[in-house]
Order: sequence, then C-alpha cells, then structure tokens
Amino acid sequence: MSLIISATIAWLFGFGIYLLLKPSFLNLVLGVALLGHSVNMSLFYLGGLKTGTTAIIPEGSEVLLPTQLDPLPQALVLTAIVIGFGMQAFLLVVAAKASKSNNTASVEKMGGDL
Amino acid sequence: MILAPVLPLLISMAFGVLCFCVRDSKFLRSLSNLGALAVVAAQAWLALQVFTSGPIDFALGNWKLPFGIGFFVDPLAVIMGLISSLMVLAAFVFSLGFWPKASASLKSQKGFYVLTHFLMIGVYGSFFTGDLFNLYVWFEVLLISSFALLGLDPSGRSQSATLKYAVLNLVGSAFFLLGLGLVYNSSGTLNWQDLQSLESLSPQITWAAFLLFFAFLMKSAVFPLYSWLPTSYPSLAAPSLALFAGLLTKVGVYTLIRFFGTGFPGAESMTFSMLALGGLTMILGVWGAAIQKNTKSILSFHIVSQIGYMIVALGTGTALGLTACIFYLIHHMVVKTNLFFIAGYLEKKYGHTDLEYLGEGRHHLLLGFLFAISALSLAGYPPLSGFWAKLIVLESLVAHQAYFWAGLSLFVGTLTFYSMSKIWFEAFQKKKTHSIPSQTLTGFQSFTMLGPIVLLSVWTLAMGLFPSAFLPYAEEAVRILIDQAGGLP
Repeated sequence: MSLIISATIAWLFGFGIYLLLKPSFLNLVLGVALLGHSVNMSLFYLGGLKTGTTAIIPEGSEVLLPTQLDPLPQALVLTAIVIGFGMQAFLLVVAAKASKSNNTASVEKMGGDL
Repeated sequence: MILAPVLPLLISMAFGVLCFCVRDSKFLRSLSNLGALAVVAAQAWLALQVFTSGPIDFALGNWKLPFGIGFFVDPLAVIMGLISSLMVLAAFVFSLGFWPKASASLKSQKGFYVLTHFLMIGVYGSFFTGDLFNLYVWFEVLLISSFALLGLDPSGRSQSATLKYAVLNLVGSAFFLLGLGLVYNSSGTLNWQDLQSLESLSPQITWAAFLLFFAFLMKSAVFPLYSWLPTSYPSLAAPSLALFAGLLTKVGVYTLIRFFGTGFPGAESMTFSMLALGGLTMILGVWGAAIQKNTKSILSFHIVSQIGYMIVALGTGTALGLTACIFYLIHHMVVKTNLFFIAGYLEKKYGHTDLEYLGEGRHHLLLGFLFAISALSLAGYPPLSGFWAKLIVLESLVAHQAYFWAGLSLFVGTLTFYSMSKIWFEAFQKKKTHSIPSQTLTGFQSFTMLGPIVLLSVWTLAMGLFPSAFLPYAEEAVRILIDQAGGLP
C-alpha cells in the first residue's frame, strides 16, 4: 500500500509543478492546488501507515497503545488542508481579477514590473 | 504577567477586529494608531522581562511539552518583535498623512488598517513560537494578510503582482510542509528545543533540513528565490510597502538565524552554503537595482541585496557572524522603512515615482538631508549605522577567511552607493524636465509624514554614533542562541 501512496504523492507533485509552469492562470491555480494536495498526503503518509487501528484511546485504557496510529500527523494534515483551502479560494479570485483587469488569460502576457 | 508572550498577538487581534467594526474614518485612524502604540508598550514590557530575567517558556493552553505547542521568547525574538512594532507605529503615523481623511474611502482605509493588524499577528507569532508547525501556521496568517494587502488596489498591475507573489510564496509553503513532515518522521518531535537536544536522528533529517532551508530562503528573498520581491513590491502603496520591506523578508531571515544559524541538527554543513548564496544575492540585487528607473523598484532590489549581507554573515557559522547578522537586521529594518517613507513622500508631493519625472527636490532641504542620511547609511558610510553593520559583517567574513566574499561585499557597497546617488541626482538635484505641478501638502500631512522619517533618521544616526549601546543586545541574543544549541558546529 505504501507504494501506491508514494506513487500518488509523486504523481500529484510532478503534475502540480507541470501545471505551475503553464501560461494560463487557471492552470497556475490548479497547479498550486495539486501541489498542496500532494504535500498534505505526504504528511499523512509520514505519520505512519497502519491498517485496522485507530488513533483513539480504547475502552479501559488511559493512554494510546503503541500499536495504534499517531494522532499528531492527522491533526497537522487537517490544519494544512484547511489553510490550503483558504489560500486556493483567495488565489482563484485574485487570478480571475488579474485576468480580467489585464484582459488576458496568459500569466506571461500580464506584464507588470519585471 | 502570565500572558506576556501572547499579549502582542492578542492586542493586534483585538484592534484588528475593533477597527473592522468602526464606521467613522477619523475614529478608525486614531484607533489603529492606539492599537500600534499598545503593541509597542506590550513588546517593550516583554523585552524588559526577557532581558532582565532570561528567556520565557510559555506553553499554549498550558499543555506541557512534548504534547503541547510552546512559545519560546528569547532576546532575539523580543528584539525583532520590538523593532517590528515600532515600524508598524511609524507606518501608521505616516499613513495618516499619506491618506488624508478626505482622499481615500473608508473601505480602502479599513482594508489597510485591519489587514496590517492581522499581518502583525502572524509576524509576532512567527517570532515567538518554538514549534515548527506553529511557525507554518503563523507564516500562513502572515501570508494571507499580505496577499490581501497587495490585492487591495484593483489596478491590473497590482492584481498581477499579487498573483505572482501568491503563487511563488505558496510553493515555498508547500516545501515547508513537506520538510516538516520529514522532520517529524525522522525525530518524532516538532519542538525546536527538543529537536536540538536529541541525540540520534535518522539520516532523512538532511532532506528535511534542505526542504526547510528552501522554504526559508524563499521567504527571505535569497538567490535563486528572490524574483517574487521586485515583481510585486513596487505596485504597493507607500505605507504598506514600507511595512512589507521592513518586516516580511526579515521574518525569513529570523527563521534562518533561529534554525540554521547554529546548525540544523543532522545538517550542520548547510550553514556554509549560505556564504555562496548570500554573496550571489548581494551582487545580483544591486545589479538589478542599477538598471531600474523607478524609486520603488530600485529600493526593492536593494532589499534583496541587503538580505544578501545578512545571509553571508550567517554563512560563516561563527558567533561573530551571528552577531553581525542580528545587528544588520536592526539597522536594516529601520533604514529600509525610512527610505520607503521618503519615496512615498516624494510620490505624494510630486505625484510620480519614476526618476524621469522627479526633480526640484532640492527646494526641499529637510527631505534632502534626511534622504542623504538614510541613503548613506544604506551604503555604509560612517558615522551612520550602516557603517558599523557592514564593518562587523566584514570582520566576521575575514575572521572566517572568506576573503572573496568580503571583497564582494565591499564592491556591492560601492554599487549601492552608485544606486543611491542616482536617486539623489534625479530626485533632488536636477531641474525638472517635465512640468508636473507639485502638490501642496497641509501642515498636518507634512508633520505626520516627515515625523517618522525624522525619528528613524535620528535612530540611524544614534546607532551610528553609539553602536556600543546597541551591540550588547545582539551579543546577548547570540549567547542565548548558542547556549540553547549547546555550541556551534
């Protein structure tokens, strides 16, 4: 299973970078989104993958058993997903506004300084 | 008081929300300035506590480490925090004159004040936190507020600048998060104090360190990741621009000092790559500035170049280098903010930032004098603060036997002087070639715009005449840093 997940992370990351380099502003936003998704997934993966257990303290115990999942990376991923979501929403609006104000859909033609 | 480390954040948050609810623009402006003053007071008090009784360990929500998130407030953090809060106060006072009540709508003024308060929550949080993921969260708070501040102006140029700034910084954040995951996987902790004292770390910590390094370099605008800065900064309005210039890249340099200054555990040799990176940043920044024809573009490139000085000092990996970097930070935050205020004043009075259209500044003796002080300080002339800052950087380079980079830093100083003299001649000496009428500013406007410029210039002069009053603070900060790390690599 870890092979599938690693492959997915790599594919998302690579495709995200590819989209970032394309001229259209929509591809830019999608590229950032995919990059964010791949990194979130890698955070999840790096927290340790186990099947059949949870990160919740079981009945009758006071601490997490060592065979259970680590809850901290799950909390990190949740925070990262929410932050990424907010950023993507803002980025979409800015990209649309920039495209409209400059009358072009190509980031290269948008010009400005440099 | 028990809440001292979070007080600046709480005050900024409270005033940000309060300013959002205000309906009258005169009250809004007074309220924001009051908020900035309150934060300065809180920071000063925190600084007093830290310098008299040592670093403060503060566990958020009283959750004990290693399960909780800790704020670690040491002298470096309070120095940065105090100076940042003073720059914010200066920028707010400047904005009172730059945007007189009648000129800007309530909505756009609210945008500036509320968003700057929220920006500062992120800035102070980044300075005080001791946990890597918490740092990521504060970076994102900082980032989204800066996006919104950039995007306030609806013109096409600003919007495209916002887009480019946003995308490049979000890529940096993604790398930060990736490195973070690897750090957690290699060491099982995200708390910086624990990380430094751990004995055995798995080898992938080097990869984690590289990714974090990449993210912090992006944030500090270091070669090869600095192009987002000159692309986006010139489209900002002067008060926000002065804040961005004086604060945002310095947060990046602060994180580099904190995490790589004393060697990242498992990746100590990465510190020395900063010599080359800093050197290239210095020279490329100043070459970029040499061909620009717009005051804001020139000064933006100079930010990059001066960051190079700080990084090259860090790259020596010595205590002297760390002291040099911190002293340079203090000097640079003040001088850069001042220069952007002056550029903003010129823009307000003469209506242009292009050097071609400026001129006749020679009638304005006071401003010319103040510009001369700040520009010479940037270039490193005695008896101004820039001289001592560059001298200590040079000393640390020579002591480390990095003679090439020392020579390069001197050469870059010459080019910096060339750039500043270009602005001097074009804006202050030559006769105007195009007849653009100059605005008459009211007394209140002149006072609130020139006031911060005068005070910051006095600070530069004072720091240059009495460097021994400021240096012990930097040395104390370095001493605590090295103590925490248990020695330099």
